[in-house]
Amino acid sequence: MDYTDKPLPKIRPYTKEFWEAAKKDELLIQHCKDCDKNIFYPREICPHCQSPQVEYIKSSGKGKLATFSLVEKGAPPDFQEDQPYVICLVDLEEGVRLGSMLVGYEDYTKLDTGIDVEVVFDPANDEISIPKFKPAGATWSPEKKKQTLAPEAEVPVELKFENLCYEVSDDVVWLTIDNEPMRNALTDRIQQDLMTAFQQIQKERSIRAVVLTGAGDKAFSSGGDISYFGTLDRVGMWDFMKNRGAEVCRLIENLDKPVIAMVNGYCYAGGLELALCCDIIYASETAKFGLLETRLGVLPGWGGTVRLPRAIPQRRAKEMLMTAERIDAREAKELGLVNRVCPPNKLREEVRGLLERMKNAAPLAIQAAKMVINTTLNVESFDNAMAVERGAIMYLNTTQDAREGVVSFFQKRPPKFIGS
Amino acid sequence: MGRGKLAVIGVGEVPTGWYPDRGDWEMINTTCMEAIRDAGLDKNDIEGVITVNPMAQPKLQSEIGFGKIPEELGLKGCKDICIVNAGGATTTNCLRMAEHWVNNGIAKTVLINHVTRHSGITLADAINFFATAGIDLQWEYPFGMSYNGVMALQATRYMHDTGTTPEELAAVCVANRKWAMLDPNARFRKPLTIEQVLESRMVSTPLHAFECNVLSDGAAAMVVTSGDLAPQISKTPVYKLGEDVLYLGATATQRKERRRMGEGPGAAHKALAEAGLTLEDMDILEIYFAYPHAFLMLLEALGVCKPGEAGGLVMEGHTSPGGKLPCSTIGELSRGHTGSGVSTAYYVECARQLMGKAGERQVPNARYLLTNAAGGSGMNMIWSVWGRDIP
Repeated sequence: MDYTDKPLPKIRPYTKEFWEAAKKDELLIQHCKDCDKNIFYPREICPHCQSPQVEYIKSSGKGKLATFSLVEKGAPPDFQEDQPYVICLVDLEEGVRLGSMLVGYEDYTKLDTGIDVEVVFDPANDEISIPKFKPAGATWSPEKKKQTLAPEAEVPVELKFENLCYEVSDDVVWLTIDNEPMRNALTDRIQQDLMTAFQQIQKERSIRAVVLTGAGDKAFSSGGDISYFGTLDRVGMWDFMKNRGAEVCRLIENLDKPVIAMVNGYCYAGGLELALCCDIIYASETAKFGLLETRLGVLPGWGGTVRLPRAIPQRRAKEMLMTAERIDAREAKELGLVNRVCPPNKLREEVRGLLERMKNAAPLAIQAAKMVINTTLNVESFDNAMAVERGAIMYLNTTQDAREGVVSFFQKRPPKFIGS
Repeated sequence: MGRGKLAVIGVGEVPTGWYPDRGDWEMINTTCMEAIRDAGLDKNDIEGVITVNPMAQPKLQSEIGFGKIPEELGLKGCKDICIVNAGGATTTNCLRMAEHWVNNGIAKTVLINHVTRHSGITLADAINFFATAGIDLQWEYPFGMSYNGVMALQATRYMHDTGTTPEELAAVCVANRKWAMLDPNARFRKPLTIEQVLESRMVSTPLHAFECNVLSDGAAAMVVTSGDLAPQISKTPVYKLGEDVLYLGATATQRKERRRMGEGPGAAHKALAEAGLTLEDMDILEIYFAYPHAFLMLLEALGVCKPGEAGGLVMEGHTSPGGKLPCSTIGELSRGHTGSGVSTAYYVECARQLMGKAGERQVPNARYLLTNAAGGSGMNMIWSVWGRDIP
């Protein structure tokens, strides 16, 4: 049984020996040296004769099932997820009675009062193992503790970036493309660094969001570094098209955390392609947007031609590509390409406000919302899309944050989400 | 303390229900004033207030505990107030204390009241309160026990020992419902069948949803006085004729069957002896039980029938309205559970039956009855005998 969030017995000076023995799979009961009676549960003073001369003795752990019940719906709040389970009373050979759970039975309907049972121990944590009972001779072993896959990576892999700044503040990573002389153009190294950064962010559970931006006040990013054009062989070109910028786009879209593009200036070509993959775009009034590749005689190659007409009206996207047009922030807002436009000196503040408001939603719900929206936008069948949504809700319903959400709602207080 | 020393002379009650929009103080006021009017008194005649502690409502508990009731009701003749807490056995202790007050010059008339509004606390708080109420936090709760759970353990063992069937257990709920259908103050009043009980979801084997309590709101009040004064004030005084009790232990999982089934009801016979009466003299058994198997266990332990026969008695309708052994006429499991208030409701019903004010469910010519109360998860068992005269 998973005891992670369950209240456990408190170890007190006079129960320390009991719990230490239980940790070693030994069941102790108490015995009074003065009146010679056995005692359970452990006490400081003998309840029969008031003697303080109570000592622990080893129990055989064997006894008879006095009664039992299959708890199907009536479990206390902390055990709701464990239903159904069997509770029981056991009369030990030493003449004392214990209440606990019965495990390791094959068929509940064949259980009966009076059958022989023996103790087993279910480790709850490093200090406490809960004594439970199984039918004599049955085999049982504790359930392996459920764990979160890929536990939080320590930030270890020393992140050494060139022209990419990686800062963590209030559990948010601020990623700044720092190549100001080239209007934050994406060199091959920056693309590789972005891949490394997003892979690392995906592993770190404590990070709740990412802000992607460009250094300085002129550009978010002017796009891929076109100086490579003409220098790459076929194999190099394949990697350039598939395993660099396009891979960064894929990582952003698949990241389990929201990514916010803070567009602080030019957002052209590959720069706009990155922004198109972000979940939310906040832009300064000075920002400009365009897919300018047609001027070079080619097309956007990291998904721009595909994603832009899905983000704004199709004909406007075609017009922009066919004229290599740059649009300003105001129009980008009108087209729904960006969420919000503000003066350049207010941009960071606005993004901080957004990050603060995101605390209203549970992290796992944010993660699921992103997954469901990104997945279902490309699903032809409405029913299939609904199925994806339904699956996500059923998963979320089992989370502790969902329980906290409901409880805090009824208690009329803000929720405290833990991302679990 | 003694035979006929205490008398109930007035009762008041609001229907058990779910009243999220109703105020605690409005309910207290309504029930107390009704009880005072029923006794034929003026509010300023009340000299003392002894009140049931609303355990699940800490805020109200502190208001009442610090003496607000006489002030809110404007009881100008009130000399003192106190709050009593013994879980489900609280009302019994209010009556015991009142008996002392009215016979020792502390107060001539005492108002006893109870209010519980489960709808006034958050669902989460209510669940958490009742999940651990009466359950040991060291040796029971971490082992998966709950109130329903320990009662289910008791029920399994009882059925094993006596051969009682699920249908017989369900029949207790049906008999209860028949009484509730005649009681305007019961919460659940639609007809109920054994099949419906057995088809309701299983909570903890062998107990189905209909066999477990539903938390409810409720309030009730009584006015009591001394046995000597009662006939001067009231035409229908109801006398406490005898009482005895046995402590059974706080930790439910530690109680042995012997203690639960055998020794507790021994107290019933001591109470009857004090009253100078026998079980055969009882016109009604107002048995407070909370879960259906406990009702059957108590009938058998009282000696009404042999172990294993109580279920049959209920199946045959003897405990239902019109039966030869009317039991639990407030329709307990269909009434709604008001925490400590269930026992208040029982005492109020005892008085009503003996005053002849029980409406459609009035047991004809009810003269004497036996009732019980218990606290915690069954920490004790208190039996008392009441009558409309002192034999």
